Amino acid sequence: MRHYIIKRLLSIVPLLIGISFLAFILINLTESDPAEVALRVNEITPTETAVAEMREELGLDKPFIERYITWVTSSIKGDFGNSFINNQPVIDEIAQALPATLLLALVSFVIIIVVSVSASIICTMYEGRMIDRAIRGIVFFGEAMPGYWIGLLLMWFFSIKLNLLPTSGMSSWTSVILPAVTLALAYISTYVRLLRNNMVQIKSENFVLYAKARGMKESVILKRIFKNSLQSAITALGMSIPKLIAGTVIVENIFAWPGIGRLSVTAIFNYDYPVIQAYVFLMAVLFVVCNLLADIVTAILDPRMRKEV
Amino acid sequence: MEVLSKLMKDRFAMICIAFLVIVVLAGIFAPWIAPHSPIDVNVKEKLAGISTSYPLGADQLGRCIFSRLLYGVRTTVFIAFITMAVTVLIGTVLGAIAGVFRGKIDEIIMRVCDIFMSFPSEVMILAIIGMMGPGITNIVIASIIAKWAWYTRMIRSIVLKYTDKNYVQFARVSGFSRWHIFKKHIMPNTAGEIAVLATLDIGSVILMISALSFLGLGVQAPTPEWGMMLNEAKNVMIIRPELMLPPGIAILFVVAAFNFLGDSLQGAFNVKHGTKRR
Repeated sequence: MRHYIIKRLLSIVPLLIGISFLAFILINLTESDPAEVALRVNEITPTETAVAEMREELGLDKPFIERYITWVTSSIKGDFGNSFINNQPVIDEIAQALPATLLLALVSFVIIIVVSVSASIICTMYEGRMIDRAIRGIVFFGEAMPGYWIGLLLMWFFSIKLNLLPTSGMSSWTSVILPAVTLALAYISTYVRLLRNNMVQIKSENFVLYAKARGMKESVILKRIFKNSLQSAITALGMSIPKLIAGTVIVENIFAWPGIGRLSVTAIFNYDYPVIQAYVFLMAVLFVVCNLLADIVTAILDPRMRKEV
Repeated sequence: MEVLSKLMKDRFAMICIAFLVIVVLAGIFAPWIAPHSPIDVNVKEKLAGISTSYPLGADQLGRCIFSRLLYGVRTTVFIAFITMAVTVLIGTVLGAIAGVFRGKIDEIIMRVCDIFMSFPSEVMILAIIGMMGPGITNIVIASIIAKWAWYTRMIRSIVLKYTDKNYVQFARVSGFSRWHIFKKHIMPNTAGEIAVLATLDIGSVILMISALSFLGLGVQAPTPEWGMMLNEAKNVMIIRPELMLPPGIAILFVVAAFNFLGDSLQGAFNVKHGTKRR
């Protein structure tokens, strides 16, 4: 087991180097000169001397590899440079916006688990019957529905028509409900589909037949089926955490939720490169770490998975 | 041909194909069908209701919603087609090279894929749009860069599945060149599976393009696009909430039709991918 974890840990090192390199060169692929952009967004006329000074200030006059190494070493320390717009350290802006995003992602996560587990258990219990088909029908359309459209419809219905919930912002605790539900809906369809198919498949295994033959209670059997289908669900959920956090981008923009998704889109409109770069880098690292954890958890749960690295 | 007859028996799949064909034709012939120009502003008809000359009413600038919906096929759906075609082409070429030649080149291609796949595609797309700026060309480029790695890997595994088959092994022992084996035995077999993959995934490309346009990062005004129409409808939500319906329903139906068709194709080709819809 320990051998597997060490091997898996080592395998992410080249991945992390690759990611940081990719995040870094993206900024160098832009057609516009970052120094010029930095001046323009502060409404300073980019004269030749001003651009040269800015280049020096941003360290753009140094060779590529040297800049990459400086950027990586300071990024590891949490220093992503200053925002072009307000000259604040990028890390402060992200730290300010991150709790809102994490809260949103957490609430959605709970909704996703509760709804998809109960819906898929109902489907398995009544496989092939009316209610199973109804849920599968909803799931099918749920997968095809644009998330932001659902968000708008929910906003119209609950905030404008019924005037129950706030339309946007983060003013009271009820503000989180609409964005979290919108975000969760996009994932619930996928998980209901996955869990249901898994459980239905396990239902036809021999050990279930044997349990039935022994006259075990239906609820006990269902519990065993559920336990057996957990493994793939955990992997899928582990992978979904970074996707959830990345997926907040659209929802945060609809509901004016002050999180990092909104921060990054604002940064894109403002050509605020350091913020975009930091966002991309942190997201990718998060993704790698979550994948790693999901793999390790699966390996602990199921020894068969340990062989593949 | 067995596939075709299987598909013909699936009535719902045929309905989906018919619907998609109608949508594509409507997009191609939009200038002849549309009652108005999609971008002509007509303040007199601002937020007009449903009438014979405005079948779905008019938006806040008095533009005909039905015409915008028709022209929107050209942006939303056709751009998704282009994106998909280029992505599949890159994936097929690289996946086939990796799968057929194996060895060092396979190793290199797969490691590069690993790095690209370590970014969630949403983040990857945002990163590229962030660096290149908003705009439709940039979105197409961004989605291709975000997706090619997954396709390369899937197509490689499909190719590998066939290179292990006995008749391919036999052809190799008989001394046929790799290129010959690929062209004769592997290509025809994999084409169907690749088509399934692309059909299953095109819905998500449509959703993504419209989502980015909704945020203002994709198609720029005044070009009609379904996601952007929803964004405009959002601003008049309080007075005319029904404006949110036409573009939303259009996206929903087209994506649902593609997803269903993909599932049917998968059944008809009798293949099972670990369908990880992204």
